[in-house]
Amino acid sequence: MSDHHHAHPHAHPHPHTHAHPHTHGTGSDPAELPPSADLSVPDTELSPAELSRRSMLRGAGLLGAGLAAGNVLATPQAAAKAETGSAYRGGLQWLAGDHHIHTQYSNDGKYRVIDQVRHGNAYGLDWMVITDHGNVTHAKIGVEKVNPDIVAARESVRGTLVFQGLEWNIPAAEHGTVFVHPGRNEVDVLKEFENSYDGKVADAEDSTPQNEALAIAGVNFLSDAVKSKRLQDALFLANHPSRKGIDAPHEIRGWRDAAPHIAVGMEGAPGHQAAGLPEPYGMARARGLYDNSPGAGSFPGYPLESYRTFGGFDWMTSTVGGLWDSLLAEGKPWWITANSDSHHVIGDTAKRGAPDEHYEQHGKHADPVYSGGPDFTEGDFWPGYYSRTHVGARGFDYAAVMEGIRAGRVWVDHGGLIAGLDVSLRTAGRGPQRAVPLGGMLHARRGTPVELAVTIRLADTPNWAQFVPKLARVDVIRGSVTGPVDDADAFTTPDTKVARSFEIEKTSGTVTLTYSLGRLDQPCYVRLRGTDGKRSAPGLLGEHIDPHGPKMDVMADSDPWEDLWFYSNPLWALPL
Amino acid sequence: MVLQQPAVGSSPVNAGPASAAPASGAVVLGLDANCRTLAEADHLAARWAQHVMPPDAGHAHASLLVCTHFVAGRVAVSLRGLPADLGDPAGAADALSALETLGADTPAAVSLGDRTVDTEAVPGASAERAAEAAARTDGRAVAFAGVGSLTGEVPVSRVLNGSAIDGLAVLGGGEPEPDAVLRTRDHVRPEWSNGVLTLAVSPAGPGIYVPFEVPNPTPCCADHA
Repeated sequence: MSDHHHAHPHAHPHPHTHAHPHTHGTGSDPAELPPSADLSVPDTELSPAELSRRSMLRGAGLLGAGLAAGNVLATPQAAAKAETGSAYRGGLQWLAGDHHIHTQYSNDGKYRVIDQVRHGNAYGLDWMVITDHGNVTHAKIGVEKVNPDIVAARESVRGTLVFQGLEWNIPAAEHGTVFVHPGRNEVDVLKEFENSYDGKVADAEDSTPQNEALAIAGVNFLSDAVKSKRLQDALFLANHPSRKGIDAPHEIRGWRDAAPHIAVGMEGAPGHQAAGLPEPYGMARARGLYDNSPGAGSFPGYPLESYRTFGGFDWMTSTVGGLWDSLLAEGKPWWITANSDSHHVIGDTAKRGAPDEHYEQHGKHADPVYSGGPDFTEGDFWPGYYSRTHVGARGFDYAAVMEGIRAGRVWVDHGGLIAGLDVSLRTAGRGPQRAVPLGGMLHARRGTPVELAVTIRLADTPNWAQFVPKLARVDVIRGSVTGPVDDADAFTTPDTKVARSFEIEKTSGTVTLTYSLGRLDQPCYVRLRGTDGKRSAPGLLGEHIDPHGPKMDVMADSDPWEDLWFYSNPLWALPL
Repeated sequence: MVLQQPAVGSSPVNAGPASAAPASGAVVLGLDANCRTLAEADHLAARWAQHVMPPDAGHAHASLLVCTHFVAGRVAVSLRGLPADLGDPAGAADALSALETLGADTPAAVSLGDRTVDTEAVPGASAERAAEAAARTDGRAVAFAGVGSLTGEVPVSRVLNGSAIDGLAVLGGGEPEPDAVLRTRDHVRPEWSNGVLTLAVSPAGPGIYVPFEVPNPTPCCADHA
């Protein structure tokens, strides 16, 4: 464990092979913990500041358990240095991308890799992940056969980075994106992963404890592949997590806690955003194809509302004080994204070039051909056309995108609601200013005034529906960090709410907003949400929590262009 | 087994069309045929409802309540308010013998009163738990009094007055307007909630609601090209 820190592009808590989250303490790498949290360092050897911090942790019951599991309360050395460091001054490249895209190598897909990449590139994507479904045919043929197509796309479309990944059937749960840094072993590792840990391939889809353990083992496999340098890097993000109610809160916590540097987040907004458009020019289903109801494998605690989208976003993300916030309030970094899940694009004129038997035989559907007319019975957009995941990267390369996602320097938007977002959390008092970007953790002495500085570049060119979106309101959502919870199935947190709303009057140029958090007293986090203001309703947890939240999308009557939102990932302020 | 059987010859239930609460002591049958989805269970429920309650049973339909229950990762079925003769030993034997017919292609377990008939493939525990759930008014109703009238578009008032459904719950909160309409999609599946058979609905435009549950939800990787 001693040398791996500097050998590859990120520091992380050591990978481990068991499912239980909070059992480290003695077994973890001391270098990962700040002295204040490392119980192997006695009180007498701590600096006064560290001692004060340890007192705070001890007083809050946060010392020991949970600290090593990638908790913000344990960070300084564990997180990338600049995040906790002294002075974020911008300088990031914000790279738009999509980590959930299907091709003809999916049993339910149609397009060539190059079709998706050319469209994504044209619609402004800097990076894309090809994620065909895990299944027996894909594990046997497709996972290898798609690679030359991806390599060729990298060559011919230079402006867009194209990752190979797959859409993992998480054992006992939903789907997830797994993707890797390009390299010698990218195919081998993905193939081994799919054959060993895909819920469909391994017949492990039922919600049983054994299958849940297999999911954890899969996450650990990826972690080990990076640790052993078989792979340069790997990430896992949960897709459409609320769609069928089968991602129980304890499963999400379990994946994350097994390897917080690999299992980093979930789709805040699912794809299929056109699926709620009414007939005759839409498939008249539900936005996101969120039209399911509880089934035998569903977590029984989830309310029926969780099976629908709100302003196009998944319930776990759109509910202020809900599941996402419950993780953030624990101090667990967990990031959200927005993607196309593109299989079949609404209004497109392509159809499969051969009968479906071709798929089993060749591991892919035949190349698409002209169908003779537009198809309005589908609900997807091209990658980049509507949903974008913006990553603050320190370079234009594969490693930089993965590092930015892992660090949580991520915000997402629909329909080009805004052109740019830069957020920093900074000290506001005398003395040298400290500042961190999205996903960052600002450590400052207790009592230091802290403020959130937001710069929004308003949309200035038409989006792909040919209008310039108008930002109407920005909400600052704030919550206390109260440490790990006893109930791994918790999906609410009591202390998170909309703390401030800004009505936006300007229609062009740049908007700057400042929100004062006051003097730093307790660990807390903030995140941002913005809207075109066209549809809103009180939040599910009450008007006092979220007076103007996103409204539940209407079945068979949701125009995604008339209900646009952006969400940022959180930033933490932590007293020393 | 916690099931209670009525005295032989007594009326199984006395619930009228507008009251869903089954009388205590109603005959309850639990059935587990290893269904993985609601759609499979609904299909099974319909077959069994037909078996124990022929279409010409007339008014007796008003008292039959068929529900689904999530048990051990599967969807089990219960039938409650069965004809009284099923409550007597001969009737029970008859119902259980139906397993043989059904079981030819569908391994299943049936629980009725204090009897359980199971198979190697399907132990009886889930059938018993389904019956227990039904006995404490739990579950999602597939067949219930007045369900036959809930097709097409129906005024919300008629849903409440003309069927066993006694409450509406609007997703995301709110109350339907008095003159609102339910667009049933011919698929209405109310659930017991604190002793009230309640239909969850979603707004679907001004004055229009749809049941929360969609008849044909999108499967997990739909091959829809």
